[in-house]
Amino acid sequence: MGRLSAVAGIFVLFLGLVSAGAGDPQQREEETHGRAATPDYARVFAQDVVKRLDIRVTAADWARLVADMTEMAGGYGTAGGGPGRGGFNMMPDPAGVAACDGRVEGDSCMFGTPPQSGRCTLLPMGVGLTCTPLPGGGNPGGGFPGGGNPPGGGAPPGGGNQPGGNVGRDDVEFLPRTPIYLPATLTFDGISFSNIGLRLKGNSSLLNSWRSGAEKLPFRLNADGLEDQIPEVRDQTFFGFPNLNLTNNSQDSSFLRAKVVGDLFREAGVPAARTAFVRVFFDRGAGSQYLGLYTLVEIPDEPMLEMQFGTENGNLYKPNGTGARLTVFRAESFPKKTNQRDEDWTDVQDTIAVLNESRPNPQVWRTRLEARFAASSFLRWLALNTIIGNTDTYGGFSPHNYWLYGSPRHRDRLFFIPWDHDLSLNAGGPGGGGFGGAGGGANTGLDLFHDRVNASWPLIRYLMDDPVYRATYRGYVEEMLNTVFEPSAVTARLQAEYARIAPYVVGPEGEVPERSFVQSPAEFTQAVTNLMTYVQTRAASVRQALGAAR
Amino acid sequence: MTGHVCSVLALCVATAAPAMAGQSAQEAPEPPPPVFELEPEAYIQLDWRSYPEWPVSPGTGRLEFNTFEVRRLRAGVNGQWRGVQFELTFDPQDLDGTLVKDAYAEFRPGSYEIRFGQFKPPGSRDYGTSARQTDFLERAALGRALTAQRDVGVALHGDLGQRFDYDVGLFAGDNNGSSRRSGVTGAGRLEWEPGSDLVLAVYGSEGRLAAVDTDPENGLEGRLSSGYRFFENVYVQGRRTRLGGDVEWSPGRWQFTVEALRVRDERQEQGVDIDDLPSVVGTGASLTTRWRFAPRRDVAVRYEYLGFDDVGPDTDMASVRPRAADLRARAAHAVTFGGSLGVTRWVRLMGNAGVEWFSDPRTAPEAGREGAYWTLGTRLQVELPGILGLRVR
Repeated sequence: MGRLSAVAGIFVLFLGLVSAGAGDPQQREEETHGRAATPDYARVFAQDVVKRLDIRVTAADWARLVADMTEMAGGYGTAGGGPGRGGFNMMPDPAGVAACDGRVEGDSCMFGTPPQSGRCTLLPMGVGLTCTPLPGGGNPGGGFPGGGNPPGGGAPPGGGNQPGGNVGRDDVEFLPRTPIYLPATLTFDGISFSNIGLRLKGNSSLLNSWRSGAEKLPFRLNADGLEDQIPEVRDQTFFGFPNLNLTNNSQDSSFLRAKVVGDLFREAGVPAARTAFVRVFFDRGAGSQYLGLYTLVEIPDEPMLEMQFGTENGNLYKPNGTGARLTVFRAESFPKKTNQRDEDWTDVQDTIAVLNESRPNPQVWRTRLEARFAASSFLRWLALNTIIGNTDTYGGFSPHNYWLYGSPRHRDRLFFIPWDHDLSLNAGGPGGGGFGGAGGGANTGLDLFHDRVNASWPLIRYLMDDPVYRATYRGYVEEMLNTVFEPSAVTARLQAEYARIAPYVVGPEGEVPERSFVQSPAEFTQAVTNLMTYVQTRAASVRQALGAAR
Repeated sequence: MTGHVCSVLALCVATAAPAMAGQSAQEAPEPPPPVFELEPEAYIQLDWRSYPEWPVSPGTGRLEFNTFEVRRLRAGVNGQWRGVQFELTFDPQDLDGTLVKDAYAEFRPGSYEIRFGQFKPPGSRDYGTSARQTDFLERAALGRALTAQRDVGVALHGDLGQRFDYDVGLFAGDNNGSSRRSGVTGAGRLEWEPGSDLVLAVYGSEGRLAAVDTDPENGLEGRLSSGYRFFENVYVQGRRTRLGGDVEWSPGRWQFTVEALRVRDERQEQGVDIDDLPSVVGTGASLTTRWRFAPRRDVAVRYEYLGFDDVGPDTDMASVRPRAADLRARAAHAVTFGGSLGVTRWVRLMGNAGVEWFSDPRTAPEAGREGAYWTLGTRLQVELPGILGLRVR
């Protein structure tokens, strides 16, 4: 028996030693780096200061990124104009613009002699589309089924959860695959984070920046994006945030759109990502240099869903492609960002089916729709989005730049989450400013009730056709004109933000011209002035249109 | 206090105590029971764990145990006053987040006992075992995930003849302080002891569930003893019904225990059109063998199973969403080897090595990887020596 006791004692001791020796190897501060860290909104999305973010990558890694991107999008700076904003100032090729006439962003196109194939991308400031040659295929375009999209380049059907599907590629829809991640060291508020995954992100903004040879490129940060290669970073976060975007505002000389519009949506009760300005210093192995003022944008993943919906257990989608119009369900258009290993798309399928069903009894239809879709939240978005003027979203240039979240705390109803507002506060667009592909100039011919939108955008068309929803929408427009989009309040906000960021855009601490999209202090100031003028005239136009529609 | 004798008794080392008690029983008449007794009790459990090759960070909601933690820090008193027994214990460390553990009084008006307050409802044998006396670091999965846990209520306990015990109660819920708590719950357990070393029991409970849209999911969640969550709770409403049974056979130094439990939670009005969804069913089973080869020294092995599914037909749209019509079926098996060494009566060392398998590779710790996941763990348990007590005669 004594021998058995000894064996048992050794067994226990052995397990103790093994257990003690195999503790968490990551040795990092859980409060700032761990998955369980409380998202530190006050620190990361500080509103009253412009913080500094240092990013460091090795020269070899940067070379890998360039090679990868060149393979997908062509050579860096091949659009001419050199680094800086030069590439953005070039006149668009009329043949390229003509090739995208009647198409939406992301559609395949062909132009020139000999013919070159490409994708329709947004012109600077979102004033139209032009055909951009691309070496590879991309995701399917956003055209209406049967609407004449040339074939090619699509993700495999049902590939949402499969290798080669469009998971993770939703923010680079025009590229054949997601750009590679590099290991980067980030320093923020005096705290460093090693091996953060950094890659390029964006659609037109990325392509335009890349092809113009701009150094100030848009980035995605994924704190544990390299966990397969570097296990130590597993479950790492950046002050509680797993993913963040760095938007370069390449198409917004005022820098203010992405920040201010996101804030306005949240104030209007529409779920939207938080943003903050940051000064990005970048070191590619040759010393740190000020890359410019970026807008830091939270991704609608765990922290945002927890904060704004109470839980992150529901299905989160980033729709893109034809199916994102919501006319007919296509799984490949709804890449999942949560519950990615489920085959379950029933919430989206069901919503699309009910949205498009016949409506002999409108009340029954509304009840069925509202059981599946947060219609009121969507109408609030639609009202403010229309007032603001934003065509690079659902109902505009392309069925993208939105997320859908089936919130468990709302009986799995899908919520529309707007995204990417750097082309907003701009009524210009296809046809000159109307929402839905038609309309007049910036503030003329305003299609306030979307009468020119057709059934290829059923979420707008069918809701606006319903008298109850139409009246609700009208009420929201009136409300927002008097609250969220009250011109003097918005102007004051723009002025305050301008004052906050101006020292980091122009002047001694400002952006360096050869790396900036803004060529002069006057351009920046004028852009902000134009924005404030736009707000005033836009509000007046909406009021006028509202009065005329009585 | 006149005429009463107050004394603070310093009790002897426990190993000597039985002998002394035996002597006094033979040599002196039994003293009258004290009017008031109070005895403090406390213990601490320090756990070290490791998860070799697990790609999940310990100490998160997904894998709830950390590599080192104070698993329990329990302190309280028990005693009796004029025949009414009572117990009050606290634990600021336990995972359920409730500070107050047991807080009840019990009296015996006749051939039965009535207990009221907060305590463990009649049910699982595994869960009924004190946390400081379990054979393994963690209870069997069914004892943690499926069984009714401490709540406020009243219970009646007594004997039916020589071989049957009954225990029935009515409780405010089935897990006080938990988001998964049901409403008013009735619970009962019936034990049959056909021989001195064999006990068979059946037990069950039924309570009402109410899902609140704006609250967290209120269904049960699935974790094995590693603490890894492989089944997330869902919204449930309607009846929660448990039915279980256990057998314990203790021949000599051996002990064999088998237990099984099935829980069915209805999902009334949880469909998108306020329609009913198929009920969710959780099934657990465990089989434990223990060999006590010396006093306070034993080795044990346990097999356990825990699975969840809905009772509706399987479709190709199975999901983990909290209101999915077709919940994705998920189950897990585990084998745990354990050793326990009582260094003294107040110090216990435990070591566990467990291996787990998951039926759905998508919900395994490393998504998509089938196979075994090992967990190693050690516990140092130190109890407050039973040397202090207050007795008023």
